[in-house]
Amino acid sequence: MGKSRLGSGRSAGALPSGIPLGLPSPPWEKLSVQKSLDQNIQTLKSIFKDCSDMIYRKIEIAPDIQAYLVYVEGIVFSPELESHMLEPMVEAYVRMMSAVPVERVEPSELEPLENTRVSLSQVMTADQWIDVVEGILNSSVAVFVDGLSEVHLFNIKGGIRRPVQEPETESVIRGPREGFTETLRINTALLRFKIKTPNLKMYSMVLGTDTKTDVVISYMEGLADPKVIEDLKKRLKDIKIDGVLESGYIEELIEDDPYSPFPQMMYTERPDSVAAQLLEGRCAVFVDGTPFVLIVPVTFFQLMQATEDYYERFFFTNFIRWIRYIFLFIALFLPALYIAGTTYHQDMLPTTLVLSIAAAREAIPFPALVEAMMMEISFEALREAGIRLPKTVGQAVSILGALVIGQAAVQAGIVSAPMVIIVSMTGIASFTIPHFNLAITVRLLRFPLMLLAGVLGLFGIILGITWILVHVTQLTSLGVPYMSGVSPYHGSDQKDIFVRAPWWKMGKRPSWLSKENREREKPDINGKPNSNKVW
Amino acid sequence: MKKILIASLLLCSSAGLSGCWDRTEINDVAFVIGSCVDKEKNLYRSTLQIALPGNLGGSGSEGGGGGTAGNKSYYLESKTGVTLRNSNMEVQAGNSRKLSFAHRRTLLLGEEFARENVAPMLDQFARIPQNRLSSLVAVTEGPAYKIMDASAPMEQFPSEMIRELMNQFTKRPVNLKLFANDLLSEGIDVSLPYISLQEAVPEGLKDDKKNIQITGLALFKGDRMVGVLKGQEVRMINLAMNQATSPDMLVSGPDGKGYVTIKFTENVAALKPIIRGDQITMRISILAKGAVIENNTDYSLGAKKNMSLLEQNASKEMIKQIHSGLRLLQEKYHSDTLGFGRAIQQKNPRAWERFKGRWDEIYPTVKVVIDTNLHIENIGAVVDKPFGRRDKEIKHD
Repeated sequence: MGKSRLGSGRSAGALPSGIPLGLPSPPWEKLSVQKSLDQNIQTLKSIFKDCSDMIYRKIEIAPDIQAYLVYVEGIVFSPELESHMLEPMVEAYVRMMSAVPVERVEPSELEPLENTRVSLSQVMTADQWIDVVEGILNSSVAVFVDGLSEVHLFNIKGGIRRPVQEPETESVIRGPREGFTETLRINTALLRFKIKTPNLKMYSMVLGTDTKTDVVISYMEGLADPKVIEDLKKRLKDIKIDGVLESGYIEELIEDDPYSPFPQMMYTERPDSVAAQLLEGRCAVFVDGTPFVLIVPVTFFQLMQATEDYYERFFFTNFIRWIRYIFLFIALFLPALYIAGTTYHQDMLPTTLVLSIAAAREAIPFPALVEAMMMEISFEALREAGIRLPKTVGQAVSILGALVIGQAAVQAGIVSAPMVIIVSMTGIASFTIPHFNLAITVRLLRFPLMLLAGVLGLFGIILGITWILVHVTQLTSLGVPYMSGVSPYHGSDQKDIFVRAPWWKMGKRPSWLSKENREREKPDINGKPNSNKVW
Repeated sequence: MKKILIASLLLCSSAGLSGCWDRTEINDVAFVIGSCVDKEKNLYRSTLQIALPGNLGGSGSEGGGGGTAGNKSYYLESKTGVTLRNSNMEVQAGNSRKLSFAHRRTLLLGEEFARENVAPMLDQFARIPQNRLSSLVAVTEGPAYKIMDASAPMEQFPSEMIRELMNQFTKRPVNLKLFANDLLSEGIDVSLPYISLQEAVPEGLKDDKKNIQITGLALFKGDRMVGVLKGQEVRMINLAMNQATSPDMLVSGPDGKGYVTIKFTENVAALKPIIRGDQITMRISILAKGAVIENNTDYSLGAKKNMSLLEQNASKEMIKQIHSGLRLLQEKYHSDTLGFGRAIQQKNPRAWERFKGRWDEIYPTVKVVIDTNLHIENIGAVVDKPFGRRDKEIKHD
């Protein structure tokens, strides 16, 4: 085929066919580029029919040799286009024209463009239309030269992208302020700034037949389990979809148990978080177009940990971690316990408590289950409304919600005051879970638990807990047990599950991730803080 | 897949069928927070104190509650029946809500009832799981329902007040479980707090009210009440039973004038039987630490001599009172409240086998030796001399 690739912007990945799924293959799929410039441009214009953002710039690069620069407006970096392509080309032309006599060459004798006229690093040549089209859509400027059947594609990715900003979903008090952006290469660079070793691998592939989204699997060679990497690559390669617009697409397509309410992957906007996970032996999946990077494999306990756990001193971290576990329990079970307690087990509550609940519920028209369902659902609605609304309106919603649902409903005798307390407690409790995808799982599981409590009382809650535990222990994330560290149990992992040991004690990486190189601190420092202090 | 879906749907719907039958909303339950048992001729009168949540002041509950009880947070319902359960069922028949006995704080036994066999009525408590065995039991002077309706201004319910009083009265208040336990064990007779109504303010005052108070110790012999121990002795017998929380005691001054009040904040009492043939001597050793809480004698407590004198006087007083109390227990009521029999059984089971059959005869003859070890650790004030007195009035030795 004579296809040559010079300094390609990507390493070899599975290149999809370039044909939208569900559409017949276009006539140009197997055609190659012709020598005639006019014919080529005509073909191109027919391929990109009705695409108003296509720019065809005609230019004479040598006496009597016409050329076309073709690109999509906006996705190429125009200052670079002007200063490194157009300007040198014009200069070269002027030089040739001002020579006496005028230098005339045949198109085939023309020196390669990238050597004499264009000072850009990423260049490749193509002679098949399919490659040319893909190049143009991937922010390349295609240069068609009259009389040549070879097209040069100069990649100058650009256009307007968001700069690196503070991540909004994972804010910290202490810790780096930078967050990923929508641009893949900025994101990988942010990671590269943190981990400066060739062992940090970036395996890239393209997913989505229409979106052709760049995806990079990043991992530390020697730390990450090769089986996990292999599995991840295989799962990604098996994806056949027209578009990948967010890492969530990939998450749903490759997770171990798609019917589980529990998230089997973690996502983060923070480069420091990704770096920490890679150093423990996990893999990260960068997806172009989203700041959210997937991290696999993941365990339940990891989702209960925040980045800041490792930046703040360990006393405080342990305290906060316990608060989180307590509130996880509250978020999951409190409404169910309230329902069970008030409808079945009045005898189990302390007398004064049961009397004050009875007093508050005296005039309430609904059974506790209905009351709780009503309140929880309206709270969820309130929260949803708050997220989607513009920030300025959001405040009005919260005032309305607080007044209507809280105050007025109680005063009108529709909802009892303890119920409002329960609902707000659970609401607050679910916000303490550091990862949003686990928090929504908890919010979701609350409802079946409430139903069970309403139908079977405490027995129902126990049934629910049993189901959750059985489910969670058999769940895996890329083959790694979800409850790793606790089930299967491993002694040294206990330093970072329910407690967070000080850094000088956490000498080993989690056992379920890196099988070989588990040591991450030298033994002489390990266990002996400040062993070589001067005083 | 479809089959699994249908199967799980069926399973889910079965959950709706199975449960719920014992679901009772909290506002369909009448919480019995205290109950009384009285004997009227051949019938048992059961009086239940039922909380009125509507009057407890929850927000949004203005509409609820019964109008009969005025503004009280409880109301009494009383019925008679052939058995206790029977009379409770009668109460239930007249109540729109389901009676729940799970939160019964106190169980009051009328004196008349207590003087007959109480054991037969205990059965129902074990048979209904709702009946919390932690309800505290007491005997009342006169009909128990009168006490149940007395004013308890500090608490929401009189039964709650009685419970608090009983918690103050003994280290380990007698609940139903202990009561049944002591009834069944050998060598000890049950004693319960004796509750009566006392004038809260001098008579004739406009707002004269009666207050609930523990005035003595109801003594049992077997499952019958045989008498009441009242007065100063109650505290000291309590102390000897190792049940006193922090009893106080009046001790006369070194020269017999005025009184010093001592509060024993820490106290331990132990029984030790000494058996020689048929002669049993019971050694009661009492270790107590206390503080002076009042001194209206002329003496300064700063002097060591006065202090040891005080301790000696306190000892004498304590021994005297315990003896006088024990005399009543042994000779008048024949009630082994302190559990002499049990002490023998525990320390010397073989001897107990000998005495067991004749314990009723032997008990009054048991000799008691009281060993006190009192420490007044604290004179209870910064100044050692009586506060507010001129130094020259004070005797230092």
